[in-house]
Amino acid sequence: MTHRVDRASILSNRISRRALIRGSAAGAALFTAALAGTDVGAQTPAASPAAGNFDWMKYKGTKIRVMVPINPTNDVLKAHFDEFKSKTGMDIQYDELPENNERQKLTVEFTGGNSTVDVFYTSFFQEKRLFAKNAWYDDLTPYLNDPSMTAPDFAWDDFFAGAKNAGTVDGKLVGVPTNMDTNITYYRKDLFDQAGMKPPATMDELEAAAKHFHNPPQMYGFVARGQKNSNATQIDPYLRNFGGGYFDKDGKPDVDSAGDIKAVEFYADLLRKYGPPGVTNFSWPEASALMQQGRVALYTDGAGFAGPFEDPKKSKVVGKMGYGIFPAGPAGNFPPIFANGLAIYSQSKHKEAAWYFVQWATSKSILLATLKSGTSVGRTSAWDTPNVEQGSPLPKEWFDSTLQMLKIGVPGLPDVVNVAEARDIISVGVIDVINGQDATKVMQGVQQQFAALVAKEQGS
Amino acid sequence: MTLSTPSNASRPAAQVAGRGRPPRSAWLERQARWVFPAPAAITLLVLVVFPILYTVWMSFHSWTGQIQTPPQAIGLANYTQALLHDTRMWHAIWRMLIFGGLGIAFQTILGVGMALLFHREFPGKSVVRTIAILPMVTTPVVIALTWTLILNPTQGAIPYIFFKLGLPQVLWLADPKIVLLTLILVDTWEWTPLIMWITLAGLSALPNEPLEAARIDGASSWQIFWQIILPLLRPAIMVAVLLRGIDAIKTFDIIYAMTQGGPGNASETMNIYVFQQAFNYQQIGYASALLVIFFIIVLLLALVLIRLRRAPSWQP
Amino acid sequence: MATMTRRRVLRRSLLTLAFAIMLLPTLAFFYWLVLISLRSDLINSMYPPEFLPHGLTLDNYRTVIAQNSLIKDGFNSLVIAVGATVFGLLIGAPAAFSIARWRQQRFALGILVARIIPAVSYLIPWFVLFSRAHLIDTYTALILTNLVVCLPLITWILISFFEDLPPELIESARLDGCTVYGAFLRIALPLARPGMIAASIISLIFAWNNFLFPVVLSGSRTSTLPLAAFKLLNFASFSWGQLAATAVLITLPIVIISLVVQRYLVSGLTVGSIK
Repeated sequence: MTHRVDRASILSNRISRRALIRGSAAGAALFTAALAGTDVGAQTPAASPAAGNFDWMKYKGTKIRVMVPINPTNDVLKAHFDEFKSKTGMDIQYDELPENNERQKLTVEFTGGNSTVDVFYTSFFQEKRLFAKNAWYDDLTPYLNDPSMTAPDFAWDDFFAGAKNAGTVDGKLVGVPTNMDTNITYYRKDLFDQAGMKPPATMDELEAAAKHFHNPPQMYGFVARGQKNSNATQIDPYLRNFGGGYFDKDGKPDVDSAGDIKAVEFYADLLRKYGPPGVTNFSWPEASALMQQGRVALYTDGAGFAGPFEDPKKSKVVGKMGYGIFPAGPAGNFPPIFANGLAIYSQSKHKEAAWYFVQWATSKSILLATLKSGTSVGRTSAWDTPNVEQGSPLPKEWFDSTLQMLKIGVPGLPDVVNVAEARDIISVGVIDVINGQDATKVMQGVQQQFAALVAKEQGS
Repeated sequence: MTLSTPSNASRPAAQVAGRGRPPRSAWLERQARWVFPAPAAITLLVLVVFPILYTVWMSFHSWTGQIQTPPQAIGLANYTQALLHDTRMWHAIWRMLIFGGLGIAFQTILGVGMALLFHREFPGKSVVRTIAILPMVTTPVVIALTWTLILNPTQGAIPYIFFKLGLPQVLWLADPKIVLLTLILVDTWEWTPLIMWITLAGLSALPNEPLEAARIDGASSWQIFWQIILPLLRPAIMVAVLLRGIDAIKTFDIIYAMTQGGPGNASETMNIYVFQQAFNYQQIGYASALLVIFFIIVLLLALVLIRLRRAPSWQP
Repeated sequence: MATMTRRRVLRRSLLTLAFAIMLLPTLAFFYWLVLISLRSDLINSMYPPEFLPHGLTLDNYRTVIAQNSLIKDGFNSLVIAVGATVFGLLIGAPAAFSIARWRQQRFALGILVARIIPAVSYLIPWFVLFSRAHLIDTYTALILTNLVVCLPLITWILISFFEDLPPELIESARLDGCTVYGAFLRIALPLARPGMIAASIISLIFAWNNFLFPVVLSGSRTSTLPLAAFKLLNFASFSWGQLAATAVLITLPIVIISLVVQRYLVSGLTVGSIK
């Protein structure tokens, strides 16, 4: 498994990045310039933009089929379709379905063959190795390197190195990142202000604050996901911040290290002592609902879930919310990055036209609109926009904390082919610990299953 | 295809033909036992045969959907893995049987009871009957989500009522020991009307003579029910049980929408597990083997139920 | 005389009690569903829950109707459900008659197999078949595939009704010069009316609510109502009120159909008593 990014390299990469940032005037522009230097993704277009004769109207009259799950990122996209149609003269068949069903439809169409899909949305952190192994992705590098195919203002170098990496498998660019989520801490600013407390910066402070505000059933101290599969993305940063992770220094599966056990124990304890009842069935909708009702003080989850808290039609905590960084643990702070993007189906009959859609959908202006809507993105220029929070439902604090987490973030979830099964294995372990089983024993069992999964993948 | 018992049908057919009807019609008359079922048989063959062949073939292969490499033949490996090593599958089968068995028992008793109750004349009969079948009419995922909301431990109506009444807190969907029962109750609520509806139709078609005769003989209503109505209804009820039973162990929507098989794997039935293997893990080959195992189990259960349907019924 | 009345009163109150127990969960559920659909999500998520109807509004219905193509989707659902049911009756009733009359047990089992096969195993093969035949996103594909659900239901429900028909009835018709086909049409079908009605209602409901097949086989042209409901289940626009409003709108047509058909059931009863 040469493709796995082992922890050591992530760490060293991270430290060097951090050093660079610290050394600089901490300006966002400098930070991104530094990141651009560590690019290991697809190559930068060699030719100067002026050399190509790029024409948006080149594929006028073509109709492409786009298949996506319904989510805020794609809703922003959909809202701009008219712009694309008048800019390119192309038409779009837009198939949107809820996440689970979209995945199902995609699998059926691609395994059945004969699919007419041209562009599809893909979660790199979840499925990129599997889809690459299945040869479902088209390699985008040739388009990117062809000045007659890529708009001069597309600016691939504008993407964070982490974003470029996320869309790259074995040196091939398989997708362009749209949204890049990371974890932050949602907290009740009004209550914290009243109590004269600051948002938690460390795990100890997190626990202390959860304890302080816990007053059930009116107010719970803390909430996070407990549901199977779903909780795996949330335990992820806890594992690393307590010194654990999925692999040891040599790249061998290791989810029962002292750090992992401690992290799961901490997470489970927090939820059991200061969380709502029935948390093992909580995914983000349940947790977010509790926050919206003003019945929980702290909540760690993806930054992309902030929008509804500031929607007066749904939320009782509009203007009362704080958006802090994810708390650091004894081993440091390694928030996860979960990147998603748009890819072209390898069997598409309109690949070039599809590329036109992809580059438009990930252009500076669309991703800026995406960021303003409250979804974290991987483009420097979006984050560098002065007063980016203007016209956004979210306050400056959200933008600051999210960017700060993105800067130090590392790829979330284990880098294996079958991430879904790995998620199930880990998440069931977390649930067992929440339900009161011994963390050491549970994680040893998890380790066994996880190692077997990795061994199976390496064997095949 | 047909297990034709020499019935009295062929004799009159010959007579009719002998009466000098046009030969074409006589031929049609003789072939009636083939003509009647032919359209249904052909339609189903077209729809079903290819999926069966595909699934069985795929079950002997390993494949995640690669475009460049065709499925790899691995013999019985998927089956040995599933049957010998996959404890998760065995647990899923066990839960599926509990879910189906308990669900069917509840639904049959309640459904037949409701049918008997709603069969008699009373004012507002048609409104009451319609209300009674509402659960089965509602889109399953809406049922699942609404019950989830009602049972939600932090904001749901039922936990709040329990709290107000001083009853102990029940984690309907989060307690691994209770979750399956909760799902069975929701399934029962949703599908009891199906049994009721088929039984009601059976009741309307009941011949009057045996009932009249029994009443004249002075039988009590209890005796009439057990000794006349129930045996006469038996075929209709058994069909309802058969159809519902097959569906019950295949239940997907409400389990997936309410718990996704959780917490942990506490409510993961075979159908949910197959779905995970096929669409989340994308083990198309392995999922196909699981489907074949699943299919065989359901088929065996269906055969048992069909036997029961044909068991000797009450004879006067 | 007095004991008779007392027994009758007791009986009536027992009956009422039974009614209440049977209907209470259903009434409560639908009260809640309709209530949610008529309130803002702010009220819907209150704790303690608000049990009484306050602050009712039609906003959810307005939003849902404005944002979605519910009318088009509803029409599609109707065409598919009615198409599958009518087609299912046309080919299922003769099959059931044949199975009942000539005891074609193996054929009966064969039909049931279509229902026994887990739905998941149909998806990929069907996509292969229908995409080769260029039938993706057509009524034909959706009606045909729904038959896998509807046909076994219809056939099996009707088998027991045809089995219950006294064989003498058919025989006497045939002695009067009727062909088997004539006897089926003129005698057997009318007598099995309660069964036909039950079967068609059940078939309609299953086809109406079927979600899995349209996910794979429909597109923008033939998208159905349950798909529309599912589209509300997402992060961006997740709303209890709108979901409930959609649910009410989806359920309503089937309730109306059931009510209408029930009237026929009553006439089916009278037919039954003639014999």
